[in-house]
Amino acid sequence: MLLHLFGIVILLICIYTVRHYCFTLNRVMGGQRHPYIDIDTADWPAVTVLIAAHNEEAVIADILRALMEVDYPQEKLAIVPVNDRSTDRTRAIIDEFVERYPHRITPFHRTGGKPGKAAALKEAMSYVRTELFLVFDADYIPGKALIRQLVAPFFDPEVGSVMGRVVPLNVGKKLLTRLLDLERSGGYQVDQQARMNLHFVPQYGGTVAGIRKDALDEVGGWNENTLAEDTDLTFRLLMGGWKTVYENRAECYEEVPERWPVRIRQIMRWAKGHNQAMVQYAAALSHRKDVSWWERLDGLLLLGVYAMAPVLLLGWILALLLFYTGAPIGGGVAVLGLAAFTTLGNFAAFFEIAAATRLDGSRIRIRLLPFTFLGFAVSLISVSRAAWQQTVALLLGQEMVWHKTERARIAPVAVEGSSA
Amino acid sequence: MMSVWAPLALTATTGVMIAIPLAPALMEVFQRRDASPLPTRKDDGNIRNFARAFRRYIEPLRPELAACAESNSIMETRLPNGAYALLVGKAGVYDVPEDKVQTLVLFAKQCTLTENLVFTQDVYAGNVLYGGRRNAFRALLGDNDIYLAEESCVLRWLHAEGKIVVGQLSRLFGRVSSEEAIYLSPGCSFERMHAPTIFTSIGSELDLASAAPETKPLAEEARRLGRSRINGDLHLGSGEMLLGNIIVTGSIHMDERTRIFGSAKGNGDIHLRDQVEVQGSLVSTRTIHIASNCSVRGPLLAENEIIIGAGTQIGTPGSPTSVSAPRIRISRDCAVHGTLWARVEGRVEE
Repeated sequence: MLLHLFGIVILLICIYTVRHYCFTLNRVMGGQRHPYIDIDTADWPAVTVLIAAHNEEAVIADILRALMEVDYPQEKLAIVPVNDRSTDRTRAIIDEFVERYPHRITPFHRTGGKPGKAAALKEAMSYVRTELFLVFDADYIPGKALIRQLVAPFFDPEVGSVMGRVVPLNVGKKLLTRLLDLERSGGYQVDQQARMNLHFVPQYGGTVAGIRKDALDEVGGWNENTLAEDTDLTFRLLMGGWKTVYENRAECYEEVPERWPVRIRQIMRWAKGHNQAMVQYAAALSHRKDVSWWERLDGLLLLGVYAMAPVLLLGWILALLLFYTGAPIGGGVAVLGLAAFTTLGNFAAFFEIAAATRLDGSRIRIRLLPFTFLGFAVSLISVSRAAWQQTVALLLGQEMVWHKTERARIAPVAVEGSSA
Repeated sequence: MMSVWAPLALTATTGVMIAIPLAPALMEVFQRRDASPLPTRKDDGNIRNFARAFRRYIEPLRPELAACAESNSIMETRLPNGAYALLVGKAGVYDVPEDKVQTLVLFAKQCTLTENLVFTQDVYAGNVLYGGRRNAFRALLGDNDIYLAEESCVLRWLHAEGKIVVGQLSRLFGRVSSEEAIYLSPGCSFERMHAPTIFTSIGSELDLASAAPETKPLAEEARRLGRSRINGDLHLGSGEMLLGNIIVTGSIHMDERTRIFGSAKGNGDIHLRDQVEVQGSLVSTRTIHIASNCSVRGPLLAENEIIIGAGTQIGTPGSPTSVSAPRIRISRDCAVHGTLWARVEGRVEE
């Protein structure tokens, strides 16, 4: 029994290892897909930008200032800061901008209702009167061409959502921020782009992203009962016959957590939300005949990403048990050890990070690679803890609580072309 | 008796063996040589950016160029960075003894170049420039019209405030843009081009402009589809009209005079027969074949190749658009309003 379970664990880990290798090799040696990047002239559609903001006084001014500078027809760009029950100066700062740019910013000050980003965005949809809308978290700083880059893929009528690349801005602050920078590079530069290249399932990430309103309506709108509205939407769109596409060159700066407790809370929320989506959609997706075989396989593996941390822990425990009970496990321990070593982190394996730094042309930071083990260990424990809490909450019928990621920015950052 | 040094030595050696691979990591943690945010794209991607930068670069030479033009003379001067520049104030044929001009050249007046001239530095033309056969330019900026003769070559970029007329079998690498129009002769190759109108024939401008199909009213008899997703291939019969967006998991074949009041996406090849009209965009994950006299109003994108038949119009003067694929082959008498971008190679059929 234990031996069989151990075999299953090894098989799962090997599948994920192969998956990471395939993505990395594709990214380094395969053909790259950027089908929408050359659309620079078009009859650009009207678009609404939603900025999700909950107690964002440290960062909200930066994104509003950056959006005033973007290269998109002004008359076709509506900006809606979604001030979700903030108790700090977020409202006052937004209102200052509204006064300064009265016809360009329409604020939505939410004072009550269900907590969480999905719930806030759901209520904000009444402000969206355009066919397309983009979503940014308040700590993001869009560049001049970003809106056009995110809108361009929607000329493809099959595209339901678009995801851009997230680039950490506060890299140099701490070792943690530098490790998260490496992890983000691996996740976006390799993982997301490889899935785009292979016609798999690039993930809508909930920020630096665009959505076709018809597509959202068709799949039932925002799901406010989830901790990861992005993963949830990715799979509902996929099963609804819409594509999510990834634009690697639509880059946007973000602020990553600077303290380990903040990072742990963030990854635990992601893990819980992702696992929720897995429980909800894995079975349905595996039976969808109108979704290609490869998309189904990749989708299922994507859904199981956060479940791999407890599986890996289980594998280690089983390996020890079997070893000391004298079970004939053969090379199983070695395979588990090797695979565990190469499938670090939630998305970004060692070699993915190495490939990403090469593709980004930032080769010196690859020297920090050994320290990613630290991030991996923290993620492994946090994600496993999240899975445990989730199982207990499910058994006790408890509702899950949405935690906002704490911001560390204390002064406005300089944005290209702005006076900040 | 075992010496105390043996376990200590073993521990120290093991520690060093562990620390050696970590040394670069530790050094980077403390030295922080690569701890800045990754650079993100800051430019607006405008095709004219190179031309604008060059215009700023030669700005200090404007007074001297004006003086040359007034005195009908040719003089050599230097830019503030020390680079040599040749200022040509004479109109007419620019005749130089050697075939290779190795300095920056600025023409103040209308000028005609002789055959086989190679400009290894950038060229500025303040007035109309008539190139000679087999001229080669590194980059060329014109404040008026530019005429390139047969078998000319531009290596980096070309921008004209007026129109650009390109002779047969010319090769245009990099970016080519005009504020008026670009006329390409048969056999020309290109990469990225942008103009209000790009014609693939010299002298057919009037016919094409008058034939520009502005938005036609939606036909009463059009079949309303909304967004429809079709598994497998789709074949639309001759004269059929559809209202809405079509997504097809296979190939799309549209017979003569099909009209689509929306966009179409094929996850396979797309074939348009003569006189097909698409009011939205046309997107294929493989190749798009367009027969003659068709029109596509929105962006035209293919991940493999786009082949455009004679007399076809992409975009409209009032609604310019983009055509993008790794390879583009375009026949004579076509008009593209906006951007024509072949990432590997574009060619006008002979």
